[in-house]
Amino acid sequence: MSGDAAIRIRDLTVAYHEAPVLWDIDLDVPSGTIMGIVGPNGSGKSTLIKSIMGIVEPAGGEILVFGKPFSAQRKRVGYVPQRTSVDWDFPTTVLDVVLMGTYGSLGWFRRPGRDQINAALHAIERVGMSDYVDRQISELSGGQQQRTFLARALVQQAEIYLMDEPFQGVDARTERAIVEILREMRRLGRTLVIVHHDLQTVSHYFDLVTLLNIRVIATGPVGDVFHDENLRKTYGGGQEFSLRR
Amino acid sequence: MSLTDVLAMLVTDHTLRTVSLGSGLVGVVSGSLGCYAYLRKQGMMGAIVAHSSLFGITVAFLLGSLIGGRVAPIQFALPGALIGGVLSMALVSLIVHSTSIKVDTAMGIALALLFGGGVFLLRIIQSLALPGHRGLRDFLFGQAATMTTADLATIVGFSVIGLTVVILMWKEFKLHTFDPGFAASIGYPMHRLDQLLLATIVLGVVVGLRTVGVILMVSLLVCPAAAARQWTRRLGSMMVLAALFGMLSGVVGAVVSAVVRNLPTGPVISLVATALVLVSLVAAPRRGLVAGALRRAANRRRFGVLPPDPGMHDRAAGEGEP
Amino acid sequence: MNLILSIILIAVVTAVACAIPGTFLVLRRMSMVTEGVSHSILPGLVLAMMIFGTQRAPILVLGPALMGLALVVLVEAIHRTDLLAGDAPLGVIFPALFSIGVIIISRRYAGIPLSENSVLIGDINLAALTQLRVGDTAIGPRTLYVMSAILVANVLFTVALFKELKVTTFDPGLASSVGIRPAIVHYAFMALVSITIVGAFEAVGAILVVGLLIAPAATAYLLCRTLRGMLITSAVFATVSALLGFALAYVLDSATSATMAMMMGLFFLLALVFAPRTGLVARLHTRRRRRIDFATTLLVLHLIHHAEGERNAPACTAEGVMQHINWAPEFAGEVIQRAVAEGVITEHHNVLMPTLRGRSRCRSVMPWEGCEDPSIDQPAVTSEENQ
Ligand SMILES: Nc1ncnc2c1ncn2[C@@H]1O[C@H](COP(=O)(O)OP(=O)(O)O)[C@@H](O)[C@H]1O
Ligand SMILES: [Mg+2]
Repeated sequence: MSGDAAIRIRDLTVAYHEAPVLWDIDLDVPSGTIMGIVGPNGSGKSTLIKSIMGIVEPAGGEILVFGKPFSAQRKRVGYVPQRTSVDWDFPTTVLDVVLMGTYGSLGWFRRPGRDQINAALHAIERVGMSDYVDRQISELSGGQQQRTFLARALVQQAEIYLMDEPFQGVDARTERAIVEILREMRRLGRTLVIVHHDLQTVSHYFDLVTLLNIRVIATGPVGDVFHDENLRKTYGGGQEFSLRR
Repeated sequence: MSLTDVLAMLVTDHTLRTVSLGSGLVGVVSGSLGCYAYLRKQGMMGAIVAHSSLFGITVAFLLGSLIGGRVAPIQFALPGALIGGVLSMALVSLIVHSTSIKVDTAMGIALALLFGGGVFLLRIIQSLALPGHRGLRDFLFGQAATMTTADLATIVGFSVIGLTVVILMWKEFKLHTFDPGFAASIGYPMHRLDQLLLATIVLGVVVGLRTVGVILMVSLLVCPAAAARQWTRRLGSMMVLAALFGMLSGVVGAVVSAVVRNLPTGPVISLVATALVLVSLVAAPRRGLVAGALRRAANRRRFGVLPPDPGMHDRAAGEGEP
Repeated sequence: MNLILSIILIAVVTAVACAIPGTFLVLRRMSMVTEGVSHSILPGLVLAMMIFGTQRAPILVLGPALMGLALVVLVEAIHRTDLLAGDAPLGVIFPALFSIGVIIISRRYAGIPLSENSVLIGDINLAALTQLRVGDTAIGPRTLYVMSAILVANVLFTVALFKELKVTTFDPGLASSVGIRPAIVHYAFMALVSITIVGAFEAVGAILVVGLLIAPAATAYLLCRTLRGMLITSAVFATVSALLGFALAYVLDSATSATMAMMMGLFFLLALVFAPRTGLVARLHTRRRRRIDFATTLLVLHLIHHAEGERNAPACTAEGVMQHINWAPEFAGEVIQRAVAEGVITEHHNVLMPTLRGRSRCRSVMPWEGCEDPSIDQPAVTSEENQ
């Protein structure tokens, strides 16, 4: 089972202060699949992604990426942070942001050259932003900002991608375009872990889903675990959640 | 005195040349390093660092006087200022991380302790009439006119260090400031980078203390960056422009205060720098207030109605554009 | 009045008058706005002196105070254009205003009794010497009267508007919904802060006043849980700092104002390190204890998890725990020892097992509700069963 797990998490617990934000998480993400992470606000979705990337330090537990600690596999993992986590008034352009995806492989002090620029332009074309290469990032719409982040991730040339709410605040057309790109990435054998908040689309977008609320409520194939009872456990009993349209 | 007289003096007068060279360089360094203070939204921290450096300056002066030796105590002032500035940053960060006190209040405390302590020691030094204590007065409101070749050498040294770090760490500083989470994910050491960046900003403050003074140094740190931000869309050009704006403020301030009697340098530099910001806010293309008003007027003519604030920050507008 | 007594009284009254609005400034996150206001009253003061002369006390307080308010409004306006990031609007404007004041002073226009030095640190001795006269008789230092009036005004304002200040500070949204206009309270309060800063200017100058406003209130913030307690505590710290500051400055021949501010900073440091619950020492203590507590619970949970169906699984040995939870050997040893001592697990032939008490502890500390781990409700393994 652990042989083909791209990400394997055991007994993970994370606390920023006293109260745990993630508690006793066990999770396997098989290689070559798209997994959605779903849960209410503050349920620890972003924290889970950040602990996989070593951005926050766990209080206990173990995380393996292709069988090794993340720090040894850094270059095989790409990251799309939550769009709202950066300052979009920063003086930089679309091309420049996408080029940041090459920084990891460039190492210290070296600047991006022709090869990196070509790779970035190619990624920009793939996300349909070729007309905006030189555009200042504060002049982008939410969807365009998200496409820019996606292009930056593509440039990373990783095998696993962790994406934090890539559909947040984007228009319907961008959402379709992004989903198309994600599916193509999976066809190429990439593993995708995607934090998501729109319950209606979960079963269309993902192979596997993890319902998270501090602990893992359920994880597995969408058809097996994504049903009303698990949703009620995840989101609390008060509200009626229904997948029936 | 006419402008041509001043220009002639710049060529012939050795002192004035030193002064404008030194102040110009200070402007270049503070202006460019200040871009990071501005982009990290730490402008007021620059003010507190400058105020607090007085503590380091006076402690270093006292130690220098005690040790004696051949070096004049005033030569210890800038290294002392560096330590004082770093101390204030460390204090603020300690308070913010270990209590629920917010950063602005932590800055007020650093000011009470370190500026208060600095003035406390300054007064004692003055009461004791330690040799060379008059030179400390220049650190309050800045005095470029008395700049010596030794001072110029110190400024050059600080500038080389500061600019080298910024150029070497160009993409690391940029990414860490723009998207610290992504930077950490590709293995950048978040805390180390933070400390290095803060130290660089302190350097940008300290280099100008002798010229601008601990009270108004914040102007030369924040204003050139704030003005430059209005005109450009890239970090590189922002820094170059901020360096130019800083140089302009520095040279104008130094020359004016050198040729007019009884005029400290700091306030003149500060006024020029602020004027540059105000002009930029009004006149900059695309972002500026005039450009915004014109755009709104044009839209009104085109659509006959006033669309809801079609400024540069309208993030929903992009998708439907040609 | 005795000169020394005058100085002491001025120092104490000024410190307390500042500490009271300081409490709200700290809670409203406006500490740095005072840095701007205190700098910008200088040109107001200089202009008022040039126009009205130096003897018209009320105008010399209200005129500059208006300048302080003007700065607040101007900075808010620039902030609203969204063109300058963070606190840059403040950092851009106040030095320029201050510069105008300094330039006028340094050009030594006739009739302005200010030096650059007194602008920075005030001149409390001169303030104590300048007498208020009624007819021909001197009735005491003018500054003392001005600051006392401001102190009374601050106390009255705080008492009269306590509820409004409290609501607008903690919950501006609620305030508007119960009919309190946060904007009106905000500007009234800032007007009083400006007046306080102008009044304190003569004795402590334009910059140290920020320390007087913020530091005692911040110290009180570390020590108190209620707003009322904070107000009283900050006034006490202000008084003590003023007295000690005066004494130290007197002995060492330094500036009273600066020494007072430094004292307030030092008291804060003391509180930061030694405060009962919030101090660094206390927190270090509790953090270590919490870490072990937390780890103990984590250990029990881990064992419950792995005890189901695989009773003697390798995960339930000390080595297994170290490996699975990723703890260093010493830390794991410490936690296991602690857990055994507390009776939440048992250790038998190197196999760790959760006890009944451990299971119920886990259930009680679960930080969320409604999603209990079913395994916790399984029949518990008591320590006897293991013997
Ligand atoms: N840097 C942080 N410091 C302290 N608490 C944090 C931090 N980041 C997140 N939290 C807290 O952790 C919990 C989970 O946050 P997050 O992982 O962002 O949730 P989600 O992404 O599911 O909305 C929240 O209660 C949040 O307040
Ligand atoms: Mg999140």
